[in-house]
Formats: sequence, C-alpha cells, structure tokens
Amino acid sequence: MIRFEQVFKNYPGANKALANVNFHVKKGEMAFLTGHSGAGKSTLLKLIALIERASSGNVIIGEKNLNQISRHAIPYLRRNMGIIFQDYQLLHDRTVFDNVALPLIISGFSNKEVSKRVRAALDSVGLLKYEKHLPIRLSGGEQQRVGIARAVVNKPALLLADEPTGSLDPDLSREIMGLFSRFNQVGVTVLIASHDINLINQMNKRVIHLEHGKLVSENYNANQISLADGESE
Amino acid sequence: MSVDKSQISLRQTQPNLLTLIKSFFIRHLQVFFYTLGQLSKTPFSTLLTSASLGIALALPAGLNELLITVQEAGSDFTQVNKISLFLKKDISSKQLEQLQQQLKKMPEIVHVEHINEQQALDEFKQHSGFGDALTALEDNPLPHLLIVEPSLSYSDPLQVEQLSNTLKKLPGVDLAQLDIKWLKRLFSIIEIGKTGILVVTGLLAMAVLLIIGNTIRLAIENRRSEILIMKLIGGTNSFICRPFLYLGFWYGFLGGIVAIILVDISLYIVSRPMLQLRELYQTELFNISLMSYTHNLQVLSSAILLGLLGAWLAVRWQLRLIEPT
Repeated sequence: MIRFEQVFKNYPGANKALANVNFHVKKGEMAFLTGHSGAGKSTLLKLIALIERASSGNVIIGEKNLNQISRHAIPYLRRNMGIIFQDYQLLHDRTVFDNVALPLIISGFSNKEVSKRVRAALDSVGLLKYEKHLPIRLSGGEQQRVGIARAVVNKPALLLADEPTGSLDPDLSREIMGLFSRFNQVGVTVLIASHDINLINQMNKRVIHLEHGKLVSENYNANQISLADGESE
Repeated sequence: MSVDKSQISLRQTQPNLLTLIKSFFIRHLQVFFYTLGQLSKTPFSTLLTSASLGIALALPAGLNELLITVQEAGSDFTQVNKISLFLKKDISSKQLEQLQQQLKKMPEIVHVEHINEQQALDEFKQHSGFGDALTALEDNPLPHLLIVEPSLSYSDPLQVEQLSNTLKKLPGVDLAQLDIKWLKRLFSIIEIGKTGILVVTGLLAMAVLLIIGNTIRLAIENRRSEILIMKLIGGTNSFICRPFLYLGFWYGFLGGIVAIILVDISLYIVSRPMLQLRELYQTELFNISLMSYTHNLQVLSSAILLGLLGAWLAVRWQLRLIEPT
C-alpha cells in the first residue's frame, strides 16, 4: 500500500530531511512512524499526502507512483486517504455534522448519502449525539474523534495520522489509538507518526524508526500488551 | 504488494454520474445562497462595498445616458437640415422649371420648395423691420430661392455638405447655403464625449475590478485555514474557488443595483430643469427619461461580469499562495 524506494528529500539550505528511505507497509497493515522531532516523520507523511514531493526516489501508494501524479490529480488522490492532524484542523464555524460531511460534499455525494455516511462515521467514533454541536464545545479528545470521523467518512483505504495524540492525555490517547486499531481490523491501512513510545509499545504493531532522516530500524516490539478489542468500547 | 492487487480507488464507492451531476447543481445552488447568507451577516461592510461599486458603475452609465440625449437632439437637428439654393437673377422661368424637375429626380432629395422673388421680399419685409425702406427700392433685389430637403439617408452632416457642393455647380444656381458648421461642431463634441466616456468607463471598470478583487482577496485571507483543510481532504481548486466566485457575483449584482438606482435618481433630478428648457424652446428635444429596460440590464450584467472577473483574478492569484505545508 505504501512503498518507499530510495527516497531522498532535501530542503534548500538545510540538511537532508530524508535520506535513502526504503520501506513497505502492506495493505491492511497498521504501522507506527517514530523518531525525535526533526527526524523526518512529518516530511515522510507529507510525501505520502503529496504536500511535498520527493527530491529523488519513488513513493508508491496503492499502485500509483506519486512522481507521475500531476498537480491537478492531487485532490483525487487525497480523497482516497484520510488524514488526521495533531491540531484536529476542524472548521469552527460549522457543526460537527458539517465538518464530517465535507469530504463527501467535495466528492459529490447526494444529500441522502451524505447524511447516512456521516451518521455512520460519527456513530463509529461515538459522537452521534454531538452532530449539531460546534466543535469548540467539545473536549480535545472529542474533537480528535471528529477529525477521525472526517478522515474515515469517505471509506479511504489508507489512514495517515500525524501525532494524533500529541495534545491529549494518556487515557484519551489510548482511546484514540483503540479507534485506529478498529479501523485497521476492518481492512484500512494505517500509518501513525508519533513519538509517544509508551503508547506505541502497548500497541504491538510494526514500528518504523527514523533518525536524522534515515530509517534506522523496523521492528515489532515483542513484549507488548495487545490492546483488547473491547477496551475502547 | 497488496494481496488482491486492488487499487486504493476500488475500495471507495464513488457516487455514480447521475448523482454527481445532480449534486453538482444542488451544491451550486447551496453555495449561491450560502454566499448571500455570508454577505447578510456583515450588512454594513456589504453595503459599503456595494455602494462604492455602485458609484463607480453609475458614473459611466449616467454620462452615457446624457450623451444619448444630446446625440438624439443632434440627429433631430440633422433631419430638419435644409440647403438653401439662391438662383441667378437672370434665370428664366423655363430654366427654373427644369432645375426643379432635375432636383426632384435626385435620390438624395426628398423635397424641393420654391420661394419666388416676390414671396421672399414679402417675408423679408415682414421679419426684418425694413418694411418701409424696402418699398423705396425700384427693383426686387432678391433672387428666387429653392429650399432643398435631403432625404433621411443623406442627413449626415458630411453628406449634406457634399450634396450642397454638388448643387452649387448646377446651372442657374448662384449660391448654396448650408449652415451646418455648428452641427459639425456638435457632432465632434459628441465624438469627444463618447471617447471621454470610453476612457472614464475603462478607468472605472478597473476600479470596480480592484475593489471586488481586493474584497475577495480579504475574504480568501479570512478563510485561509478553511482552504488549507479543504485542500488536504481532496477539494479541487474549482470547488474551493466556487464560494468566492459567487461572492464576486453577488458584489457585482448588488453594485449594479446601486448603480441603476443612482443613475435613475440623477436622471430624475436633471430632467426637471431640462423640462423647463424644453418649455422655453418649445421643443420635443432633450427629453430625459429614466434608463430603459435594456440599459438597466446592460448595467447589471456588466456589473456582474466585472464582479465575476474580479473574483476570478483574486482567486487565481491568491489560491496559488495557499498550499498546505
């Protein structure tokens, strides 16, 4: 699903943000991307979401080589991935429902289909009762769940998250991670950038470790506690 | 590679074409009213912008109306424009008859009126105030006069002048008199006026573009974070542009309405002294009325076009600068 082949990314006047990165996240897999700040986690996610382009090498998403995606095709590519941000990136003058509906409206779904899917997405993150609220009235953890609902409402094959629990306390963070696990179990490929080692260790998933733009290790942590299905429900 | 080799897009159930087309129109309608709602949330700034657009649009529209009035008056004068042919004193009545016949056959001429020397003298006595002094004259010093009226299609001052030159050369004609110098002046003034209005219209159209462009630019800047989010979740540029283009449409529309109201009020104010003038001169000319239906429509549609163009320029310029980083 996500394949990096000898990917380099240079910013003018700076050190290499990514240097010769190779890895492959399979379809249906859930993986963590970790490393200190400045290690290149965000840059890597930006390459996948085509916010940035690789200086050299191939980034292949699904079966598409992103080098061959034109500027005009970028929006259509992004519709197939759900992106989740540390600061939620919600529209504060629209209701929870309208926020989650946005990707569907962009894709041109009918009103009937939109409300059906939005309710299903909100239900899956346990926020259906807040559909008419403005995001500002919700807690941080709830706002992030709205962000997740918006990311999954289009039924994307790939979920990307950049420090999704960065502003949340440990309990809420576990809850959010539980949500990701559940989407992963129904076949969504998930890649989460995070530096919260404790939390990652609890998840028993593959960890891609970056340091100074280089991939230093890929491993499954053996002594992890598996997160039970029921825990977040 | 993935197990079932399926592409990511296969997972997503896309809306079918019919739904896409239907949604497209529904979304347009929604944005149409949404942007109107946005404007009504800030009535004061909407009013200010519309008023400045209205004034900028009203100026060329109003000047144009006045010019049209003057032009109509001018063309009315050309219709009564006649050539006086003073004939040679020694012309015989046979020659006179022949000349009249010849003139009547010319396609440029619709009417020939003969004023014989006696009639001319009587008229002169009556109007000049020299009545008694003239009776002292032994001979009638006045010649026969033919008043020639050019047909409508030859009423242009230049054509009338040409006709007059032709007639001057006919046998028996002593002098062809044509007082169109003032008419030529009027027409050249109208031409200057037209060019002036064109320049003013161009400048004010640019002002309208700048006002709308800048207003839209600010609106885009205010929605910067929203635009970034839209781009990140797969909004195409045309989707993101849409509300701003509609905003431009509404500004143009409101500005056009303000302009029409301003022009009509101004025309009404000017029409009152004009009415007095008309009574004094006992003329049907200088008839100022409110703008015609077509002119209203022209002002409104050009305002809307300028609104859309201004918004489009602003959006094109500004959206390139807003990319997620």
